Amino acid sequence: MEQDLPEVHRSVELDADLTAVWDAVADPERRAGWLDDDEAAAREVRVESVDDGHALAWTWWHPDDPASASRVEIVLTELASGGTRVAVTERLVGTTGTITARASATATAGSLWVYRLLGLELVLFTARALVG
Amino acid sequence: MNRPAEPGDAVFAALADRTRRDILRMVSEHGPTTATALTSDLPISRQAIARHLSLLRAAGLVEADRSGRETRFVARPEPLDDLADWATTTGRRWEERLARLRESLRT
Repeated sequence: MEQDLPEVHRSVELDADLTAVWDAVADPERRAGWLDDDEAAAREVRVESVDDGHALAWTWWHPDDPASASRVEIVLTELASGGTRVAVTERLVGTTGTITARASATATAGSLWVYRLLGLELVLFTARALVG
Repeated sequence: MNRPAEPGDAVFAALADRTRRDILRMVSEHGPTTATALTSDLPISRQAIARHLSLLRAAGLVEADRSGRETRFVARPEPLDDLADWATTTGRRWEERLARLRESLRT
């Protein structure tokens, strides 16, 4: 089965309870305290969805490079230990606008179809076929 | 700014099609190949293959080498390297961010 998009997954298990972790993730000022690095600070952010106490998703991109757009989803899960798992997924999405501009040869431009067939297969293919 | 190149939309568009991925794989495995040579391995016309190769070429995934009346295509890995770089760099950044989150909750 193919994945939709190139994705990166990372997660950690923290000793803090869900409420404490949610506060650190959801509050913009507190979030900036651990999230911001050169890359994050340079991006514009549009929050896409908030599932209170549980999940947060946003899209972010470099203002000068629409193709850099990616979607971040952070999901919190309460652990039996009383701690909290924080799972992050970041997925490259690009933008339909730049596709429309560039892909004149592809009549289906304008939808996200272009991204649906990338993923694991491609990564495996890259590793296998292009060595030597 | 020193950030890695993001894989361009043209690369995604080119690789979105299974036939084009097959063609790219064949060109990678066989070395310099003509559109005509690929017809024996694919159930599509030479014209269709040439169209796919042209899109792969526009994305920088293959290069055309013309000698006389023959055009041979060679795979170029660089755009795919961008994709792998993106995943590596993005993963590392999240490891660092999550470590800072952990640290911030300790205090």
